[in-house]
Amino acid sequence: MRTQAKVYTALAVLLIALLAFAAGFGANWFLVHQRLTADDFAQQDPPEPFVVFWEAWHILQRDYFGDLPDDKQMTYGAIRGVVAALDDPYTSFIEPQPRELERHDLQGHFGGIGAWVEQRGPGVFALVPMRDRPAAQAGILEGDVLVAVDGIDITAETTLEDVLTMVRGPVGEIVHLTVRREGEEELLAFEVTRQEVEIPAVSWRLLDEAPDVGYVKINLFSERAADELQEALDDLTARDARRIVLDLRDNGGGLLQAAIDVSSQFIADGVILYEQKKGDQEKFYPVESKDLVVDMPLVILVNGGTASASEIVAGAVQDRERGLLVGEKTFGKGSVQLIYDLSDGSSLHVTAARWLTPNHSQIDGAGLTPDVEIPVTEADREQGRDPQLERAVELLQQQGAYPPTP
Amino acid sequence: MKDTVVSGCKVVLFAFVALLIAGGAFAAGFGTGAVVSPLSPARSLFDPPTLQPTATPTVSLEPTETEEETFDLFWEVWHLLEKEYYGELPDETGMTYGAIQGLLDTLDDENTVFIEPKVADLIRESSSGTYEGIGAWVRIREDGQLMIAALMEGQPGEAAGLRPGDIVLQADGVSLEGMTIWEAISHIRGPEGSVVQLKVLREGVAEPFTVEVERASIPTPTIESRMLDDGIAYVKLYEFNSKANDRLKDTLEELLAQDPRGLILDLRNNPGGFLHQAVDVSSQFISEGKILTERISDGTERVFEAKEGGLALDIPLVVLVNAGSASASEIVAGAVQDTGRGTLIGETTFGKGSVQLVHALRDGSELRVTIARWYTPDDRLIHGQGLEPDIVVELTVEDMDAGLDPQLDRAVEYLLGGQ
Repeated sequence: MRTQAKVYTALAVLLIALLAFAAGFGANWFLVHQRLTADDFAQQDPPEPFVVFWEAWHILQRDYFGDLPDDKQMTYGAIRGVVAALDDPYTSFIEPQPRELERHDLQGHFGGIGAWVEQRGPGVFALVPMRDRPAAQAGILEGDVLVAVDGIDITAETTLEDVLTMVRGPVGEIVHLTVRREGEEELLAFEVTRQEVEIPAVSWRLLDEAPDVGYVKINLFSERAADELQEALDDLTARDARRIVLDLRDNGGGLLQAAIDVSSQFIADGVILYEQKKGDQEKFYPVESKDLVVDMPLVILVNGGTASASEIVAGAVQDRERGLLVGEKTFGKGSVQLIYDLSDGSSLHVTAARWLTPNHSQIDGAGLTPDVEIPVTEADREQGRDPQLERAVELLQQQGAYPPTP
Repeated sequence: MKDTVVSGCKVVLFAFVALLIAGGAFAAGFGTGAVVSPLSPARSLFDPPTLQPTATPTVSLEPTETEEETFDLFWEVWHLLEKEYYGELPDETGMTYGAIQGLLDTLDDENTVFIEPKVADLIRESSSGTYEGIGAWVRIREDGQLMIAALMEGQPGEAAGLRPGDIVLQADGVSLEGMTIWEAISHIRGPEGSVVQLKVLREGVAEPFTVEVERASIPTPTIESRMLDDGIAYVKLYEFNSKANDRLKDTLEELLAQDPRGLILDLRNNPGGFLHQAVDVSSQFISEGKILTERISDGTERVFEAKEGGLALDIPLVVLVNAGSASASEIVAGAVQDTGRGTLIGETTFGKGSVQLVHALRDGSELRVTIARWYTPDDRLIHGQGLEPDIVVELTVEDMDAGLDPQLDRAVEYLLGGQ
């Protein structure tokens, strides 16, 4: 009996051992074959896709030769990567620092001398000081031509961008300007202390060659644009302007609200644009009526640099037959980006909607076609000629473009 | 009482021993399975990694707490996009791959790359011995354009009129500019018998033009050899794949039996391959000493020395190189040059002095990570610079059109005349 029990025990142990061995062998076989090919993965429940990201991140941390950026930079990298995967040039992620600068631009501040710079020919840059700003306070007069900035001579090759870069700078610092003034034999030197200058969105004047035509240029649809436009129109009408040229060439856009406000200065009522958002019904933005200042004949100058908010205004004026477009085909940006400030100070620009003109034209990629097409050539630019403006004035004086809408 | 306790103990003891045996048996079974299992963890791969991949211990798939906190911003962005983006969002896989790509872009290392599953499959196909395509070697130029480096004799690409130097702008209407090399290749390859339309830019031809190529099943060549006139042996090695050294040995045996006066090893347009293959190939020509030194980021070094048993240790040797000679090719050429074993003729090499380790990720995609730099026997780092040949000879498109090979001619001249 005892021996039998021992035998049974031994057999049981052997059996357990054999089973365990087989189980071990099988487990390994199973595991190895799990790792085989992508096909095998397809047959099982696929792993949650995003784990692959953490796998990659941890492999890099363990193995990468060289310095890895910190976790925050890697996170920013991953965000930029996912945004890039959308393949939309207008949806972008902006890290904390640059957002400050951008905010300044849209709000309208930087450090400068407070004067417009106008190119009147190759290497000829005239200053137009703004009231009560550093340039005017230092004694610079309208029309003074820049000869040197901080000792650096202006030459025929100097561009407008170069001049602006030289003249602008940190608030509080002094910039030395040498100018030539008509009527003065000697060059004049000025020391101007840069101030925080608000970027003017709008500049204006009555045209020398046609004193009843008011010329208004909007540079950017910033927060200040609509108010400054109002100021311009008030001033021009007070000085007997009876027709308006609105210059939106090279105006890359800006705030949607500014575009609506500016349109509302010229169009009495009704639709300015339609907007389509994800999943929502189409919505329209009507004129937000103010004291309608201007029902004068209107021509808008446009070119390939006229984009976005500028196209909203130009498209509304054209479709509502409020005025004519003169110049070149516009840029073709019919999408609207909303800016979201994120929790760490960075921001995300997201293409959140598409806008359409009052006639439901979708201008994305196509642009607006001017009523009168005229190019500006290199030769024109070098000679300081502006055939688009000339044509606009002609049209306004012939018959006043479109009659004002009641 | 005592009896029961003792019996109780016995039972416990018995159970314990049983568990031990069972556990031991399980482990033994497991271990045996690993040895017997038909698939080894290492896989054969095409270029450009220069290190045999091994199964490395797996990493965690979960973020740590601090990582998760920092990474919250990503999810903030993603949820915003899901809610507001007017347009099509990628699916979760597309999002993941985009994030990984963005992650890699912060590294500024063009050799640490992420390869999506379908492209990884292409690479695996190449290593199988044949692939379906047009029979061309391609290379990405510095300006991001895809260029035909060479055409395989008798294959569809050559027959359709493509030439070395041609820039391939588009494949079936898809622009190839800016793509990684395998992404671009995935657009050119396709099933045997299918046709691909390639938009080609050729120097001397004003406008880009279209070339239609019918794909075929192409054998991946590893090695070619012949005896030239004047008793010079010529060997062309196409890549340092897992068969490279074996095939070279066979070839050398054949050639050396014919008592050549000199040997030309042609590594032009050889993009590299396995590091161990580079060491083995170098060892056919160099009898002893350093072939290369590998250094990883913590400073540890690993020296690879010549192995014994080389077949061509004494014969006068020229190695042909050009801008397409990269990585493993540069290991061999660098060792030959620094030891004075032979002369390099041709043009400056590619300049890839880094080593990547290939990781297969769990969804079938691949992550190739730069883990080391390698240095020549004289401790030169050729990364970014390449090797300068001892004798510089250009090969122009006109030469190729005329069927001339001045680099080869110069090599023969050198071996016959000693200079």
